Amino acid sequence: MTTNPSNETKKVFIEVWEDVIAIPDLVISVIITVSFTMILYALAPERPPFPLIFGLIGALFGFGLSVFLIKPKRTVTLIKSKEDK
Amino acid sequence: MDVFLLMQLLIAAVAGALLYTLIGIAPGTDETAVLAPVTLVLVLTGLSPIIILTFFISAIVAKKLTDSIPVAVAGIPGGVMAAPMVEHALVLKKHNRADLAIRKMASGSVIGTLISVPLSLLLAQQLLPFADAVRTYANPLFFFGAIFLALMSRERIVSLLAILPLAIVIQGLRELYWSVGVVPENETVFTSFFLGITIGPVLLTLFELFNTKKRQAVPKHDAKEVKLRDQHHIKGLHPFKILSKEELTWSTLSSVFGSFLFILSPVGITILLGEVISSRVKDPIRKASLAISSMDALTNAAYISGTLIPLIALGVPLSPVAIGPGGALFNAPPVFNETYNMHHALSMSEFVVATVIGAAVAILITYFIIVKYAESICYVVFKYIPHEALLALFIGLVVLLSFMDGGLLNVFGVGLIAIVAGYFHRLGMNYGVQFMVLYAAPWLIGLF
Repeated sequence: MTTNPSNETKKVFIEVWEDVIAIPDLVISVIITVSFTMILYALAPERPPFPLIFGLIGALFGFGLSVFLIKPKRTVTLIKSKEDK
Repeated sequence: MDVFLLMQLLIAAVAGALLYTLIGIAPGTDETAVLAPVTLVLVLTGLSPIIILTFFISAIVAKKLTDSIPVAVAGIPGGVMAAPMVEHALVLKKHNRADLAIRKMASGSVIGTLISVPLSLLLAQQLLPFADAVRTYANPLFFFGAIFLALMSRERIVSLLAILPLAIVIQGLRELYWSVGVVPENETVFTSFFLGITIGPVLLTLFELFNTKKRQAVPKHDAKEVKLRDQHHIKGLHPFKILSKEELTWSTLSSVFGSFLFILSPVGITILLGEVISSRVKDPIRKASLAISSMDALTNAAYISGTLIPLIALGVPLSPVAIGPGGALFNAPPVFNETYNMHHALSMSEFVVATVIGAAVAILITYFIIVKYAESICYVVFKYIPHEALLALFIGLVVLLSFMDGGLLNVFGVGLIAIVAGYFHRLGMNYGVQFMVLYAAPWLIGLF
């Protein structure tokens, strides 16, 4: 389900909000997050603030699942600093 | 004040500082887009106002402290307001002084906070006598605020011409909802329209991807390369020692300016004053350090005063910060509205307590702990949090709150507002102008 960021010869990512994304991955995470949010919202007791809180918990679940399923499109390298002044 | 409440305030402050330290580091997060929805949600859950204010103050201090960190270590702005600093931070990075950049920026932030908190409280008190007049004319004032901010922006003509069309879309949808019956006649949809404007630019970009030609024409990129430099030798964080006398003076002065100019757009004054101050200096490292420390001081001061002064003195969000990121503190139906919001809910001493606890906790946590581990935190955020998940989270929140405001019809209505506002935004109509229009729309359309 994830796009492999090591596939670097082909430029496939697009820039949104100062960072790069893959469209299929974005579609997947939006579907996941919106479904979780709305399903939990629908399951909540009618009395406020429960629908809101349930919806938020759903959104966070969706976020967590997306983080788990999708790889960030960044290559991060840590440079050991020399003893600069 | 009882111990239980104090504990709650401390917890709120710690939560705000930790959450917004992470969000601050995540690249490209717009202040309004990340602060407004969360604050809104907290207000809607019915938490006590003083707890929410503590959280909010802690959040803005932490966010402003940390959004400059990715600028220093990776040259990527952590937020819109950090964008003007990139150029100067890159100079320091090129000279292998990213650690210096972090320390200078963070110290600037601390100075800005220390100065603007007492100054805002004082200024707010001076403005109190005018509060009634301001409230009486609030609606026309929002309209003139929109015109004023439009005139101050770079794209004056676009911003001016777009005021009425945007008001028509907003008020037109409300009238439609009333006549179709998805919203009762005595309720005005506000929250989700606010979010629609907030997420407008991003949603427009995403929506365009559905167009085959646009999608093919969009520039493609490789995975983003982020190089982090190990910074663990950062020691001795003492803001008054880190900054030179010159930097300290200019940070202080720009904080004072920032507090007085709370009615202007913080990004605008940051760019303007930052350039004015640093243009006098030739040496590149000295110039860059001076620019980033005073700019960071200024953005902090502008943020805090822009929130606190309208909140304490007026109860009407007459500043770009108050109407944007802090919008939920003024208007979040059904909890807060124009006649009863945080201004009415808290006393002066409660404002002071919430602000001081929020700012102090955020500085303690974010400044003394987080700044030391800046590069490890950046590493984790860049390595493990996909940008897609963040975007999806915001879209999820917008869909949820739109549905709660006016059902499925409003989900698409908010989409419409987002695309219209996003397009105007792209043409140069900034958030400040758009939010003023959102407030002025009923009055403005009522004139015809």
